[in-house]
This record gives sequence, C-alpha cells and structure tokens, in this order.
Amino acid sequence: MSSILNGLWCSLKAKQSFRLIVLGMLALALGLALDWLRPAQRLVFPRPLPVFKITPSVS
Amino acid sequence: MNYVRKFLQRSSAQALLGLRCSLGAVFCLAGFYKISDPIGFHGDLLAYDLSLPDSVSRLIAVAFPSLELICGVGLIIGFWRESVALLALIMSTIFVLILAQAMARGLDLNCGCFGTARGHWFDLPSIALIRAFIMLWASFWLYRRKSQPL
Repeated sequence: MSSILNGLWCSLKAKQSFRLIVLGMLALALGLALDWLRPAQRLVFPRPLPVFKITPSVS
Repeated sequence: MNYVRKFLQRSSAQALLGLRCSLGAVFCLAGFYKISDPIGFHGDLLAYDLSLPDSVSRLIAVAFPSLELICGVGLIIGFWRESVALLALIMSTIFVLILAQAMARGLDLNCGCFGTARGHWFDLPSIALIRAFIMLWASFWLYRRKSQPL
C-alpha cells in the first residue's frame, strides 16, 4: 500500500503535475467559454456584457 | 499452458478496456448533464454547505463539469492515459469525501451527480456514495494498470 501511495506522490511531483495543470486550465477555459456563450443562466458573467459602439471619427 | 496464459492476458486487457470506457462514459454523462444546467449544479453545490466563497463556488460550478467531460473523453480515447487516470482518481476521491461528509452531517440533499433530476433513487446520497466508491475503485485499478498498453 505504501508503495502505491509513494508512486502516486511521485507521479504528482513528476510530469503528471504539468499535465494535470494543463487539463485543469483547459477545463477552466472551456467552462468560462461555455458560460460566456450561454445566452441565459450565466454563473461567472451574470450581467449582460457591455455593447461597444464604434463611432466614426470626425475629420 | 502458454495458451491459457495468453487467453488470461487478453481477457484482462479487454476487461481493462471495458472498465476504462465505462468509467469514461459515466464521467462524460455526468459532465454533460451538469453543463446543460449550470444553475442547478451550482444550487446542488451550495446544498453541500462547503463554506466556499461565492466566487470560488461559481468557478467550480463552471469548470468542474468541463473537467469531467475532458476526463471522460480522455478515458475513452486513451489520451494521456496515465494523467487522465490520475485525474479520475483525484475526482473520485473528491466525490467520496464530499458525499461522506454530507452524509456524516446528515444533510438532506440531492447528490447532483447527473444534473438536477429530482426524485430518482440513484440521486440518494447513500447510493451516490456507493457509486463514488465504485468509481474510486475503477479509477484506482486503471491507475495501477496504467503501463499496460491498450
């Protein structure tokens, strides 16, 4: 049992941690994008997003 | 004798593949249902009374279903097999711990594992805890056998 736990700990310390971080960031980005694209029921972006108007420059 | 050994090895590999795909399908299904109703999942998360700040619980409600979906797809297609098995192990451990603390505190809640469908027997916390233990066992088994090529 201790060897399994030791293996888990070594995996977490080694390259697995990098891959876990990548997967976590990917999930966060996907979740935020889905939340942004959702027309209603938003959790992180609850208010309507600001509308930007482009005004022509006066020359 | 050699034939028997080869047969057992092949059966073991097929069982492992079946286990991986089944666990992946469960993660995909759970992630999909949660993504389709984020407000409901956030409500279920609040019912666990984890004393998290509002912004953190919102971020978890947004990111966790995507993580489940990525983990499920990774398990099915066999992408980064070792890391995805480790991720499944970590997530299953979190499920077990959260459900166990909720049951120990006697919280009356819907597990929220597969969306917010109410009144189903598989939404009971005790059934969800058994399911989480099965998922923990499956992901632990997959993680231990990570080196086996499939």
